Amino acid sequence: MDKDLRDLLAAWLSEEEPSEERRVALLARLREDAAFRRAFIDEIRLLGMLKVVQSSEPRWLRLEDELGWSVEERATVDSLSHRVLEAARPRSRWRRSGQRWLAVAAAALVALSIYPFLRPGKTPETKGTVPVENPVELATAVKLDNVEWEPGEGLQPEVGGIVTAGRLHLRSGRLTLAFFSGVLLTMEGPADVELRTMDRVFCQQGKLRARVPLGAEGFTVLAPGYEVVDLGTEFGLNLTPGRPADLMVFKGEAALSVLGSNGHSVHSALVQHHKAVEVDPGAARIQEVAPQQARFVPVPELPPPNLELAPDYPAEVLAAKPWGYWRFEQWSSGRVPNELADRPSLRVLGGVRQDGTPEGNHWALFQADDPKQALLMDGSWSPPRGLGQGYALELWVQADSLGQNALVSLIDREHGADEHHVSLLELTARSQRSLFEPCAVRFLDRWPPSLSGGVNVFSRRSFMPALWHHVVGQKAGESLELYIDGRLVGSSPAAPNPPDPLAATTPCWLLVGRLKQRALPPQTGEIRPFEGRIDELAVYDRPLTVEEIRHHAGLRVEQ
Amino acid sequence: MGGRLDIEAALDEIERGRTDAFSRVVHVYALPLRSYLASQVHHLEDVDDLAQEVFLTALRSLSGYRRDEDFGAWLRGIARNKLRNYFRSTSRRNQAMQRFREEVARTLEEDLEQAAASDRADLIERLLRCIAQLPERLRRVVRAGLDGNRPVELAQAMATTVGAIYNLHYRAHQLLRDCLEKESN
Repeated sequence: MDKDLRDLLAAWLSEEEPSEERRVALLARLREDAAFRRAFIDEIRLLGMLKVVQSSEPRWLRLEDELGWSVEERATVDSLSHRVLEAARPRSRWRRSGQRWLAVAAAALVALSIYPFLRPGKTPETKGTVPVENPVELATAVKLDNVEWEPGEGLQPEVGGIVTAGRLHLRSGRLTLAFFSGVLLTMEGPADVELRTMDRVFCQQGKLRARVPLGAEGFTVLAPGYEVVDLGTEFGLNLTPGRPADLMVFKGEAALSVLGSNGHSVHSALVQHHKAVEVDPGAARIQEVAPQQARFVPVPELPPPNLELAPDYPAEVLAAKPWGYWRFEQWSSGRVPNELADRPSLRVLGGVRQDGTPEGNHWALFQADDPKQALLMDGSWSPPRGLGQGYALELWVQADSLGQNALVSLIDREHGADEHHVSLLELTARSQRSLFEPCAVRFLDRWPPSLSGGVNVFSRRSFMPALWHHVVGQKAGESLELYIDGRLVGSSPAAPNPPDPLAATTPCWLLVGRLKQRALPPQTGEIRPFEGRIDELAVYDRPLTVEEIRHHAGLRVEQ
Repeated sequence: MGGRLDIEAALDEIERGRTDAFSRVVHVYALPLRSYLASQVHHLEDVDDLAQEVFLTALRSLSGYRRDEDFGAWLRGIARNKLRNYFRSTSRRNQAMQRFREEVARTLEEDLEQAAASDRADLIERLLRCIAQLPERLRRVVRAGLDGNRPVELAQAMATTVGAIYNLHYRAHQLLRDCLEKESN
């Protein structure tokens, strides 16, 4: 390699800082030597191509909002990962319309790496181990019970550790993973499981239990000779090499398909909840059997940590003069009272209930599989949004899953059933329906109220399920800010607003734990129901100062 | 999708108020545009932020696009303005190095534009198949940059010198270019 070319590349990539004399010489050659210039351009072009083609597809929420892209419309956009996956999968499989609109973008590279193994005429996917060239982060290990690993290569995550694509080989014990799509997967050893993408695992051996939230349907367990596709909620699979496998669906339904040697489905069944089947791929047989729940791995117990705050926390919040403040310490007649006497309470919808420690702090518990649940404020609030004005949303939150979950929605009342957002604080995930960064928080400020558009602030991956976090999203003058645990994790210039304060706001519904009030299907994807715990919700008609935010976040009493 | 007529059709729809038709334009040009930006910007997050800015600006400035122009070239023109602002706003410890980088960028501008004119999404996608054909050692070098490993770290990991890492990069790129040429043929 030409030394000048090497030095110029090193300088261009900020790897090295050549001397003034050397810079002059390199520039002179670049100007005078066309072949050298071409060689350098060839190198940086290829570097650029390599960088983007091996990366996940970006999330461009501002653009999507501006274009008003919906899930259905995106279904028609033939993404790179989708095209490759589809080209790579010759066989039929169950799909609900619109569900497979986009393969998980982050898994594009993994998908592409398996392409040679899947293309028509080649070995079908269910045979052999797929080499993973560039592992992508897929999940977090949330629980390990007496896990012993088989020696050799493979992933050996610890609690709280990120799990990439790759092989997990357990000799014994139980491991529970929370995928960034929201899927919770428990495996019991002896188990040999390969994580391929966010929604596909290959199991050679082991007992699995998968819980799949709304939006992540389609999670697939591949096994030698068959596959199980989750069509919603929860199933268990026991797989011992050389013996028929047992499948039981605990909630929802799953599709089971026995595959021929070419990877095509030769026999299939839709297994409903509380049903069990035995599948013998060798004999291409699926047989219903009596369900025996005890034979399957139980749902893991993931007791969340308690949230205990310093005794002066409420006084400190009140000293910051919130517009509304709900502590969740007292519930009466289906309402959570406001700590400010003349301000509205929150109305309890669905099964959200009070929870907490016996003699300590209490919070609102949003349980799994109840998308109707939410807290809706009586009356309305007009967040100050005019020139130089601001507002803040503050709460403590602990999520039970990694799905895309709405925390606080401010919805324009005047648009009625259309439910145009003015502001939104939510947890994000990466799934078939979302390209967002997983384990992140999104704060949206939108004016005028609309179904799309607005300015977003995202945190990077800074939110862990099962842990309590202090979250503040606020408009502070001409800036949008997002704080997690007292740290500023994202900011963005706010959209310009009219100088007349009244022209930049509107009376809003305040909805907690749900994106919109609208009914369930067909708008299920627009609900984004929260699962977990919320406490100490406060809204302010001014932005908080950094000191106030840090102070509030620091008032947690560590257990 | 991707031919001139298809782009024209999408632009016609946008003019009629169907803004969402711009998603088809984004689909065609996203990969080449990101690739163009990534040839000049180190951090992928910045690349993707800039690409989004380019598309947003393009959408809002479509009235300024002349139908007889190459749409990709028009996008890259917007991208060059974004890049200039980006480099100016990016604080650098060493002003001399910043000036050097700007001078290099200015010197390359015309040739880089000509070269980028032939970049298409399908060609860039083929690169993945070519990477899979590289020998393991070269594949590791190609991948390392994406994982954030700097040459000096990679050299340590592979028990070799930084110079050797650059040579391996160069060799890998030659093989990839050859492969791409074969793929295009």
